[in-house]
Amino acid sequence: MNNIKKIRRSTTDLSQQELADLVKCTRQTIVALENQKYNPSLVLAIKISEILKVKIDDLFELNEII
Amino acid sequence: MSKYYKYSITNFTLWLIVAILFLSIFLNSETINNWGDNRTKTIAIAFLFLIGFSGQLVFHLLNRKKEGQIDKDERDLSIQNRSISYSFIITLVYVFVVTISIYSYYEKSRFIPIAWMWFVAYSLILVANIITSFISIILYKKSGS
Repeated sequence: MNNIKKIRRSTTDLSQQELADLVKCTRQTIVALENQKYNPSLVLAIKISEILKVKIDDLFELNEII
Repeated sequence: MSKYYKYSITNFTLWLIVAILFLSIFLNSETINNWGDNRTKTIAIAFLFLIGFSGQLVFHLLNRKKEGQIDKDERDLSIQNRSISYSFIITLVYVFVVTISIYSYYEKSRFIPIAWMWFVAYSLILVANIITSFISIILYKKSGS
């Protein structure tokens, strides 16, 4: 599970398209991420956390205990 | 809707139409028994495939990447890779089942009409395109379009 939508809206004025352009992915991928329908690669996760200026731990959380 | 989701839907529709027309021409005993003598039908089938490939080309020309635009990312690549992997296995199974069925059917007569070889070759293209597109559509739907 991720908190991208919550953090993007609360800490920045970025739109989904602007975030997508900054991390070099499509807007549809940001939509899929925010709707919890896609798990990003580590590279994309790091890019998003850098743009949103939060730690990766704050952005993602593990629901299942392995 | 991402470009590659749109492409999968277009490709699926296009090749499904080609498949229906192909089967309607091919699957009658006259075509199979007189394959070599019937120039019109062989040209018609080749023309159908030309339409299929031209359709793909037209889609790519109409949806060319604009400067600075990101039209494909890791999600698209992941979906493409997964759909190609599944499609590869399904296509292999398809070829095995079709060839073994034809062999079993004609085993006693010891003669297989050459048209069936063309059928396997042509239908392989159809199956690969339709299955890859169909699986891509399902995966895109699952990951939020």
